[in-house]
Amino acid sequence: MKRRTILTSGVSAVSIGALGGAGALLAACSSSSSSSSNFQSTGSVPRPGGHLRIGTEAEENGLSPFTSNFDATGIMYARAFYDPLAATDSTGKTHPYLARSITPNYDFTKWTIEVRSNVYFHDGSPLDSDALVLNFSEHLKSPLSGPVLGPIIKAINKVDPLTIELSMNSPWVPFDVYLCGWIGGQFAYVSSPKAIQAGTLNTNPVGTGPFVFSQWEPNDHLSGTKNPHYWQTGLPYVDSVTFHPLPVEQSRSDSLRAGDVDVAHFTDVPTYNALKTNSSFTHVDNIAGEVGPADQDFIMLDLAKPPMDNLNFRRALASSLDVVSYNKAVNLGLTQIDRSVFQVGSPYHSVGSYPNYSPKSAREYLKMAGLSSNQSSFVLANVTGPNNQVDLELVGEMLSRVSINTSQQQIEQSKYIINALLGDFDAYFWRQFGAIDPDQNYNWWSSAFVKPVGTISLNFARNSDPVIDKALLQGRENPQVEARVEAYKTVARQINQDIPYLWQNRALWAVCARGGVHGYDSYRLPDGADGLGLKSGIFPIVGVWLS
Amino acid sequence: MGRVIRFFAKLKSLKLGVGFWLSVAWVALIVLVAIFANLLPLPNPDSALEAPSNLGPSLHHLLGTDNIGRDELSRLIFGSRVSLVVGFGSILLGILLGGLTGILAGYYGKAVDFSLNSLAIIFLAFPQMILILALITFEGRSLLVITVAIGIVGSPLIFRVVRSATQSVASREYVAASKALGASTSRVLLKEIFPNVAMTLSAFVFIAVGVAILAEAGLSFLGLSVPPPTPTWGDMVNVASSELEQNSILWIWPSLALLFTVLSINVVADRLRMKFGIRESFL
Amino acid sequence: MKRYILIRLAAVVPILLITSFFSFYLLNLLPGNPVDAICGVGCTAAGHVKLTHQLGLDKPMLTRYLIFLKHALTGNLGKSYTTDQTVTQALAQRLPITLELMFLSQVVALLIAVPLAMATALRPGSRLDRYGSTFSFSLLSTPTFVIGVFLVLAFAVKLHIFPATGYTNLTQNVGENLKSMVLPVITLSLGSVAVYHRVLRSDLISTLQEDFVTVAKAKGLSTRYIMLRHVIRPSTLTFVTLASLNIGNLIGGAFIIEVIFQLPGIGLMTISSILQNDYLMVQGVVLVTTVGFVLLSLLADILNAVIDPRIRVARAGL
Repeated sequence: MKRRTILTSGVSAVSIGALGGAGALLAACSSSSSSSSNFQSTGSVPRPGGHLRIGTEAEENGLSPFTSNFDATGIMYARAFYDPLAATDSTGKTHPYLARSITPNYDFTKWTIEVRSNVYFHDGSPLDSDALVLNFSEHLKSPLSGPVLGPIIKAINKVDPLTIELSMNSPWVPFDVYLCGWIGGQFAYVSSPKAIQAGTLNTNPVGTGPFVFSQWEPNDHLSGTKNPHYWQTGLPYVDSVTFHPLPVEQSRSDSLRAGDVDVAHFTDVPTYNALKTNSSFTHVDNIAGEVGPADQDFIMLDLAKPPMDNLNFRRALASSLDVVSYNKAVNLGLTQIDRSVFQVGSPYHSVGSYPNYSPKSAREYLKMAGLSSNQSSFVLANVTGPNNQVDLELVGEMLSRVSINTSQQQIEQSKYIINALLGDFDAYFWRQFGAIDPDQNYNWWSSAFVKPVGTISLNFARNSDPVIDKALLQGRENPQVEARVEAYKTVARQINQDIPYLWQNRALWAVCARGGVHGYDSYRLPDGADGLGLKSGIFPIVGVWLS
Repeated sequence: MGRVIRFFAKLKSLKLGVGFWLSVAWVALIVLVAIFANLLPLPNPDSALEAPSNLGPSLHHLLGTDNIGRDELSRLIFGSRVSLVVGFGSILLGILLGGLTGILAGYYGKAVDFSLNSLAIIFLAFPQMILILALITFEGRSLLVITVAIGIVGSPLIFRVVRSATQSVASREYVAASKALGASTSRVLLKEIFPNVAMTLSAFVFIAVGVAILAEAGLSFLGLSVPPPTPTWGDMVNVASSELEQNSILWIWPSLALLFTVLSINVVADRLRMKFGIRESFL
Repeated sequence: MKRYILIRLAAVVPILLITSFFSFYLLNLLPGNPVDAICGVGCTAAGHVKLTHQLGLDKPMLTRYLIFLKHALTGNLGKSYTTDQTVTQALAQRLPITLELMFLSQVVALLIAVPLAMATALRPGSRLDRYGSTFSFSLLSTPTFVIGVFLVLAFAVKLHIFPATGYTNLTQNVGENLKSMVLPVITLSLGSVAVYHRVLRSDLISTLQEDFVTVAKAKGLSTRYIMLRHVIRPSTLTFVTLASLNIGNLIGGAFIIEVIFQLPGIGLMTISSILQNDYLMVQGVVLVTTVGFVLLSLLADILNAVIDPRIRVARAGL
């Protein structure tokens, strides 16, 4: 398996709960929308029926939005059985989805959510404001979202049978983006109050979603059948869906080619490329660009421990990575190199003083760092898996060319994440920061989430920078477009000044399907707008039909 | 010159077959290149991106390059070191641990046998994977740990083999005769028991080495063997398997290396066993 | 005979106790702590302590082992730290798959090895024998993961005959289940084929040289009758012993197969449980595999005694 977005399955109760979200105005961070596909998705009439089999890259620990941390696969699961209150359109704008309306007050300290009427959960209980209140209260109490939502949400008030109001301690401009239910916003999914009280959600999800849960055998398959009373009439088209977790990219590709699954997402370039060039499959990927900040592949450093606490040493590391050659060797040169947390084309893109590749500068920085060769050696690690090993060896090689010695390790997935959380690492291959609005990355960058080594800290790199903190708050609390652009440009620049991350390339996300699978690249929102397709490995299934 | 001819004639008269000598040659070749790898004119196996990736066989790179431009032949040769060290080293450890205790158990019988045998059964019953994983996780992944781990896991089996061989030898008349003549225990052990047991063991040992090499390859495949960047054959197969479509040749070389090496060892063992008439069923 | 069985059965208990204690001890030596994973982001120092106490992880190792033992005797093997399942649930779900894999692979191995051994034993040194030997040697020398990957490429991806991954439960659909098991079973069986063939063949050859066979031939009995009725019986002795010893290898081999073919057996689960310090889950696996192994070797020994009366007599004294 390739490197994974943070907090994937294996760690049961670690929260992402990134807060904040863009005002509806500034959601589009990139000029181009989700990119290269090779087929027409409109113009054909959807046919109901059939069984959809989806290959995913992970398995989840559980199916409850309250206790199980959802990565890309988890969000796919959530979208099958639950519905989010809002949804993102293809330009990045937030639209109400399960909710009828989501409105902030003038200074974004109160958010009013009204749900649709006559919507029922799979167990028959009604969707109403009592259900919403219960959902949000439980999220506030949960170990996942609680520590992060708690400090901001002051009160939850019922306004009328279908409306609630959330009061905040401080302005939260992009809150509605979180309600779209992307990674970090799993509190957007509404669960049945009856099921919440029964405490069975983890193995028996009950929501309002297009599919009703039927069976789950962890690490083998998760199935659901069409919800006959779905509030979006006519949907879903298929009769049933089954997810097959297949962590090894090659296996997933084999399964697709052998016909064991109908559609699957991929993140490894060579594997995907072999499928992309195969005309029996249709595909969609994010190579040309995407809506919102993109997932980046990078090497994350732990600034709380030597030798990574030495700025000149970090500069030396950044200067010694020949990212162009790396990209060519590992990613066939197909993915983009951004050298910034925000991608080229984003209004927030800024490279600042991030070092260029130069072995000469690397050696100079190394000298300036003043570390003995013993002090400057560290452990470079990646997740277990054949693809990951080659990445590891390549970077290790590059570093050794400027006389930086590393020992290389491959660590099992869940241990890897725990180590990152606890700060028990030196340099880890990592993938992160894909979002619709930059505020969703607040927790990873704010010093409020820096804890000492040995205690769980969401700011994995443990980079405390008051300039970044101030800019993040500005992005969260100031609704003015110019102010937000300025704020996040500052964040990007400052991150590149501090160098907690060694940039490599923009991460690949792609979806491939056998011929005859339609509607996985986009879908129609209830109000008629075009829903956002592939983003960070998550793709729509509610409108998929088979021919 | 005449002596050389006579030497080869003598070898031929042994009638061990062409297959046998080919196998011996292969094993000898592998051992030699493994030992003298550093002296050979090979590119550094770790040097990534020195050459274009995924090249086919060429003059500069006899077996081509892998997907980050490293010389495949060089990696194969350096990789042989791990396979051979683990293969022979672990079995050597197994013989020391299992063999010695096996002779003692088989010869002395009664309480000694009972306790040692029970210990062996417990070891055999214990899931091997857990033992290996525990050792690796605890001591870290290094050549020594892997060798010791496989050796420990293999020793109960060697114990059983040696024990049963010792038992059958010890019950023979010539041993009783030797004892009756007043030979000391150590003399009996050394002169009667040990040589006979050693013969039985020798055939088994070669097979065990083959199994140990494959076990290490298996661990490599699962990412549990010696850490990168040290090349190992199992690891090379693993990486190549995940990119089979892009470059299937990279998968063939290490697979063949494993196949030929283990096959050769097995053929040698088999011919020797046939020659010396050792029964295969010594369990 | 009965006494022999009873003694062997009684030995299961101390063996179980020792292996379970040993594994418990080993696991606790490993670095890492399951509490961090469960505790989560909101984990305060106090919360960490509370959770540790809740899981009983603050007690000394021996006490924890005894508690585990007490619960185990009532059938409660505990709950996994990482998933919401109980250990018994997880085992019940995953063990049958690994067992099916192992069992079927042995059956297939026999179906190939026995006829091959019989045919080559009757004609030692013939071309069939030599080719058969080379074939089984090559099988013995090829790593399972090489065979497995090759089979997936050929039969699943290129030819679309069998699925590349995935598993259909036996209870759901026997046909689909067998289809999804074909490639994994064949891969796992090939190594065993070689071993069985070699051993059986040499055993058969030596038995064929015995006097009673010459007598039978002189009596005019057909070769086939002699083989099936007289020769196979004594040879199954070593074969059965061999099979029981093969179990250990089989479990390790099954694990690799499970990784290649993504079969949800206990192999995959064991590795990740060890690495995530999921003590109770690993204990469950150790218990099951130990019991399985001991019972199977007991079964082998009993079969041996049944097949070969000489052992019965010799062992009667025990």
